[in-house]
Amino acid sequence: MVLLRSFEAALLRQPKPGFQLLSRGEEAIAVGICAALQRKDPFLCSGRSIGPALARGVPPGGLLAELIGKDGGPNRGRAGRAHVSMPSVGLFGAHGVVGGNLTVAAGVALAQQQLGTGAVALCLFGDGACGSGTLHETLNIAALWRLPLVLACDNNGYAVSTAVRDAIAAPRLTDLAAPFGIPASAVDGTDVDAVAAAVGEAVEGARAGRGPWFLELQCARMAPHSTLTREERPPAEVEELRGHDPITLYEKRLRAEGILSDALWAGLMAEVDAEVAEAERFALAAVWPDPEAAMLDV
Amino acid sequence: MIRKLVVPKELGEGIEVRLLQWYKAEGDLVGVDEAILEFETDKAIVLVGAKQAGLLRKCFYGAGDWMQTGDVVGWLSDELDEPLPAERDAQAEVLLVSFDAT
Amino acid sequence: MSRLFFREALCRAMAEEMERDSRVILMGQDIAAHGGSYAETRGLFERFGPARVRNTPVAEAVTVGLAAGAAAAGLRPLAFITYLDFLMLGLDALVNYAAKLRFKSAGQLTSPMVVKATAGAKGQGPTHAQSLEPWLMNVPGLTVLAPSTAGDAYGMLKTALRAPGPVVFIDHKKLFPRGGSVPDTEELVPVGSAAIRREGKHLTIVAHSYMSVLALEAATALAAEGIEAEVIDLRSLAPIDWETLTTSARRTGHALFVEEGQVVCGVGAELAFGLRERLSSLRVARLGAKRAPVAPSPVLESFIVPDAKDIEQSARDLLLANVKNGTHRTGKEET
Repeated sequence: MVLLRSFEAALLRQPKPGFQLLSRGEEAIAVGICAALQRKDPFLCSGRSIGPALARGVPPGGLLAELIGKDGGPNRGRAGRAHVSMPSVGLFGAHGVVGGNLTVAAGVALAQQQLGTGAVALCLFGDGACGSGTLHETLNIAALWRLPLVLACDNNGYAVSTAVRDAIAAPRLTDLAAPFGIPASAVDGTDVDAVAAAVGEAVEGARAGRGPWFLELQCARMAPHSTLTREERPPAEVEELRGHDPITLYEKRLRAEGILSDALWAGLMAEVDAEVAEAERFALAAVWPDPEAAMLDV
Repeated sequence: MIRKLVVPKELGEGIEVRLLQWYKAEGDLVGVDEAILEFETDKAIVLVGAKQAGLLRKCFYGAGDWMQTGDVVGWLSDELDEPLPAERDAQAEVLLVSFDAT
Repeated sequence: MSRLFFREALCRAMAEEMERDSRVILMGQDIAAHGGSYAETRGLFERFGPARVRNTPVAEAVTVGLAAGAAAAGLRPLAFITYLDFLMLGLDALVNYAAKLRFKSAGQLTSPMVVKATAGAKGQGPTHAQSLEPWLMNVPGLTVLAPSTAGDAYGMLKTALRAPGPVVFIDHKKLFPRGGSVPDTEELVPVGSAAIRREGKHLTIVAHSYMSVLALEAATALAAEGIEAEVIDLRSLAPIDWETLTTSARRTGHALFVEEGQVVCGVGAELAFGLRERLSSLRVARLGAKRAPVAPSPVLESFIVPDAKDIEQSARDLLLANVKNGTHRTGKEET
């Protein structure tokens, strides 16, 4: 989680960070999910992909290069944030169209079922996708065909500027799964252990052939929607969100439980700083793509 | 009187059909409401029945052959010794038929 | 050679490919026990079972998404879209995901899926009759095929089911009632190969799908007037067989492009421009639907959609050089 936070800060220090959707405040979701997945489980996510990609194991240097459009990234500057993928580490891919990855994830899950891989597909999507028809079509087919699919909704409260309550008629997002008979649970998405436990239960249920599962992971988006979007929430509301910072919460808890010492924390910070500095060096050294490479793999 | 049996045009212009089987052979008497032959379109099996009686005198197609709507499939006559026209598409009354698609 | 209905040729191609490759699965509305909206999957459910021949709900977005994702994850799905018009509901997964996947993953992932969709006017009206091929031709990464004969339906569907990237396979309602010769042994039609259906020296008529059938009828009628039209069946709309088109058009000096859909930014517009880039002197004309939605009334429909007589007249107009400035929208009425 600290790596994710620190990496995003480094991204913003780049001369041209570009159009980025940060995971600040949502790190526990990315980390908790990836802690519960096996390497073979295909992980699909939305365009808010930076935290999820790092948590899944995409090398930070390559990811930074990808995000700023250099050739050293896993997708050689053609995916960027919105479409980053690295199947070798289990990141099947982000999809920048809201709700766009849901139906694809159903297909990925179908392939696991049909090919008997024993893997479970997990699709992480934002609350903004909950009003999309693709979610309802996906829930329906996933239930009908008992697909090994976990649908995890990162509910950060807002789709750009529109609050969930103004976009979704259902009182609770978990209600959306109910008509299809899909088990659904709401989890504190700022508690990394709770996320990992809930995702683990859902994934193992799906792996055992019990069909899909819907998770609502509740958190707070601590930054504006994107690096190019103005913050419209009142300053007092944004200030209040500091109390929901998953890193601070986890740090306090680990300290209270006597697991985390000052020395351990300092060591962790130094490790992350070094990793991020190395990522920055890698991205700086990475070459820009040959323009002609735009015609490859079309 | 000579009558010609035609692939019903009511099925549509230029529709191709495949002859599945004859229920009558040359020389057989075809009674009213009796089945004559069966063919298939791309969508349906069509049973053709007679709405006029006659003797089946000539069959131009066999099972598996392809025909189009409007094609003359065969000739019927009232009497066994009535001479048949020389040309397949010679002018003649069209035999009234029923056709049931399934 | 055997003579088969168009649908039987499709069915044989699917059966053979499913037999050959266990990754091939079929998904779509009414394709299982019902045997397909056009009876083109008859017998496949019984033969290959419910896991490989899957009925879907009326939900094109997830149907295309399922195919795109399943293809990316190792299957070779064929998704059926009953009417090409309904593909609009699934375009995100096709265009934004599948068509770009190889590119955006830098070659790590591909989506070898096929969408089979049925185009064409046959009395179904505004949203069940459109020919939207140019929309799809416009997308980098999509292969677009459109057979006009049973033999090509067989050979091209097999090709599509082995192709590396997403393929849209477009058939036509008016082709289903037709029979045609299909090779008894396996024969694949390569992507990007047009077929010369009739040779001629006075003009080249380029068409695809059902319009190829009408173009041949028109060519037969024109021959009686002494006009020898060369008829090229495009077969592959993306990529385009420029070599065959260029060779023919260079020889005849006149090219008429016929399509059933709208001519605005249409197949003909692209072909005419592409050929003019390749040939310094070429007279071109295009013929397509009038600028109106397709109406269900037979009278209105036949007014809107080109027929063989329209093709004949467009050919005569082109040859009589009543064409100003090289390009001209022919048809029953100027728009």
